[in-house]
Amino acid sequence: MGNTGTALQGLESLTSNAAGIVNITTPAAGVYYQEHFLNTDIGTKGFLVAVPSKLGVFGLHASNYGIGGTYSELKAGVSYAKAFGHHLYTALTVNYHQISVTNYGDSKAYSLDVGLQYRIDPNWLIGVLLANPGYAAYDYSVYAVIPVQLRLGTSYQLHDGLTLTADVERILYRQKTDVRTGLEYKPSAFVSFRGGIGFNEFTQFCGFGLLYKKMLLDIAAVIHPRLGVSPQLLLTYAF
Amino acid sequence: MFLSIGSSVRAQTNDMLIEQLVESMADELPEDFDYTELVEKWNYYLRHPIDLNKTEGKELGELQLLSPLQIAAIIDHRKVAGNYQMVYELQAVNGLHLELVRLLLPFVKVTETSDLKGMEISDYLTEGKHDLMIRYGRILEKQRGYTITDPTRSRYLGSADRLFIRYRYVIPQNLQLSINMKKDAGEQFFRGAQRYGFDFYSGSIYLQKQKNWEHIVLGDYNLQFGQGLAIWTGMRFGKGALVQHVARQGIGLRPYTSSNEFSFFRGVAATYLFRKMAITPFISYKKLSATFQDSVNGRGTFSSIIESGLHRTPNELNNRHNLGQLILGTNMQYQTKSLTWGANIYHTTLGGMIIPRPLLYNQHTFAGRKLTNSSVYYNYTLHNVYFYGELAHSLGSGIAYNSGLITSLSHDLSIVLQYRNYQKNYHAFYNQAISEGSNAFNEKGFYTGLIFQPSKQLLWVVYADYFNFPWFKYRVDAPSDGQDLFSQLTFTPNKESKLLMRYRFRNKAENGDLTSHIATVEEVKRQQIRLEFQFKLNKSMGWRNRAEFVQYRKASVKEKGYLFYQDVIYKPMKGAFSGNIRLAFFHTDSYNARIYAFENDVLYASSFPFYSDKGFRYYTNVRYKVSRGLDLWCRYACSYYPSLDGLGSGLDTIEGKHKSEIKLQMRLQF
Repeated sequence: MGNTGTALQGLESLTSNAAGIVNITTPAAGVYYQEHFLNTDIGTKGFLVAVPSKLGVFGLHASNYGIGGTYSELKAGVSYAKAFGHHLYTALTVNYHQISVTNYGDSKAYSLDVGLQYRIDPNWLIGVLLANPGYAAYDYSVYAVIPVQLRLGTSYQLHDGLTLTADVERILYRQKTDVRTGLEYKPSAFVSFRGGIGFNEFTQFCGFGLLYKKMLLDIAAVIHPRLGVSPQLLLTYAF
Repeated sequence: MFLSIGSSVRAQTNDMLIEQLVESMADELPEDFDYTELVEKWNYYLRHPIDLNKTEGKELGELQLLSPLQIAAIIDHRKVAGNYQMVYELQAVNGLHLELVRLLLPFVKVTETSDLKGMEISDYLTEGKHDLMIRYGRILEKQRGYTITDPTRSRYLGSADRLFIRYRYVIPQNLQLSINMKKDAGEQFFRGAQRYGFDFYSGSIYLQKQKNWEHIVLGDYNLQFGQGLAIWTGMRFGKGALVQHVARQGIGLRPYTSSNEFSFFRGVAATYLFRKMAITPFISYKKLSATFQDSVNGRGTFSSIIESGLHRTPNELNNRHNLGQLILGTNMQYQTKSLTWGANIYHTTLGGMIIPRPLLYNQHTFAGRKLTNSSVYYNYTLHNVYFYGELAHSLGSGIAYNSGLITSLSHDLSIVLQYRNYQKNYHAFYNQAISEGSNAFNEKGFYTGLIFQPSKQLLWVVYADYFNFPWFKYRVDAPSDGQDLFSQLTFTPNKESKLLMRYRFRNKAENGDLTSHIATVEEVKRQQIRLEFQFKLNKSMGWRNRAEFVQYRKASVKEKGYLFYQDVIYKPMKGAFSGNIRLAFFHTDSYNARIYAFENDVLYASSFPFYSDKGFRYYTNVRYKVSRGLDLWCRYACSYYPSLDGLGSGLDTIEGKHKSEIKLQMRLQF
């Protein structure tokens, strides 16, 4: 959906704004893989787990980005999401970052994310994510950044099965604001279609999801005009 | 209550529609863009409205106002809810918003009238209606091209007067005779190369519904099939606020009634109906104007075909009608309620060789004197999805295809997607498919459009188009790409007022301006913001304000411009006089930051000029209904540039600060 998850809910929001897992009622887990630009060997793999409890919903998200055996960026985060009333949802995430480059060195760091979502009416959500507000960073042995990131987003459910989203993202060190929009259309309970556009760094997104009982298979692609297509696949199961 | 229809609606319809359509176009239209064809069609359907209980949709498509899904919805409504009892029932049709219904009303009816059938020969001469129109126009200031007398220099040989005569004889549903004659400014009249009077003559006899012959045209005609990749002449629309125009609805064979001097065929064509199959064979021969290079073995070689139709200077006259073009071909189309598919094949032979100038961007353009084109196309409606596309091949060279869909995801949200891929060596003389470039070749693109109508008052249209050009283009010495983003919000709180906001961003490549040893290609970014407010003071008076801002950026060059105007429109329900005036103020840093705006004009004429530099512009437009069947129009327009001493360039240069133009027009109907 155009990489616009700041104001969306569900297991996948562990990748965008953990406040979105707050309404999960049964444990759920998923795995995903994304190839960055076909035939480049650069990929991201990861898994997601969410477990509801009396205190709130706990989430776990681990991902590894890199080129097999050469370069790896590992990020593992534990989230705790809690609702305050029926309108306000919050989440705190503690992340562990590890970067390692074969025959070069590695570095570790911890960061914190704060997520908020607010339900304006039954169909309308807004969200904020502040990632790494403490400016956590790797030491000087590697040249890599843990971005300080501010995301604002909104999602609006127009009708049953039709949702529109928009996100604005500001990554501090890049001096660049990206605006993205997305749309999800579910003509039936089993299938959904998604699409979106990123504007500042023009990118197109499209994908579809198949839902069978408690299993969801989701296939999507990010299309960059010069760099090409990045396919991704997500499989989740709700227990 | 809100849809009271009166004579004023009818009178206003054309202007409103043209304005709406032209302004909805996102691209700057070429100055000679001619929508006569469409205005004529509208006028025809105003006089002979489409019967909602009879139409199968074709006629509705010709209006260019509806998307294929909307047309299907109108017909479906009839099938579900029974025959229409009144036209206002259109409000109940899914996917038609109020504004659209209002525009549509004058063109439709539900009463049944008997068709003219079983006519005697003598009826053909007495049953019809005559329509004669004469238009005169000229720029009042002296332009340089008219003052030069030295025969060795380039100059305009004729006078600055423009003259256009148009005659129609119409028997509805049956026969139409059309004649057009045109003299452009600077062309001679009954002298020199134009010794037979006008520079351009066009005419046709059109017979409709003769047994199995659906259309027969003798003379000048248009062919519009599929998505326009292989064959499409006459008017077409591109990207714009009317997102549905991305899916072309080819109307097949029709007489040619416009005054553009290139985009039509001349000869004989006919459509024969056999059950669900329609076959349209055609033959055409006409003389084109082309840039003559040399003569080899008695046969000329030419570097390019000139489409402007201007024959004013000795040089233009040397190339006038110097290249014969013979076209032979046929179309076959099979049509059911939800599926249409068709195929085209045609062969073009030229009287001489085309050898493009040896420049890199010309490397893949057409060279030779023979070309065979073929294409297959389809459209298919499945539930709430309309699929369409065309695949075309120029034999011996490239292919081009596009494919897309329009779907209404809910009653208030529709989406359009289209992919296009036109190879750099695809050739077709009459190709006018959707493209960012001027013709559909050397281009790939993906278009996404969204129409959101949350309430009857609010309409939001957005599209994003990404395109890339795999090969060099004119003034772009490298493969390049770009984007076109568009967003428009229209708020119609009531019948009297309308508020419009538009934002558009475009990014395209162009050769760098720096003259260094390394040639570079730079990004050119254009941003446009438009605010417009329309208000009807009472039944006969209305006004309209617009503010528009433009920003242009290329490398380190940053330029801006703005335009403000105020229109007053006077259109009484009754009374002989009607008219409108505009006062505009504009200031742009350069030609790059120029701003285009639609201007009201005399009937069937079009004005879509750009405003650049710093100055004022005003015009008045008056229509006088002398009596039933006799109308007069007069238009006066003037631009004033206080800080300039010379206007225009080349032969069009005017010494002074003013450029003014007058138009007079008369129409006689009997």
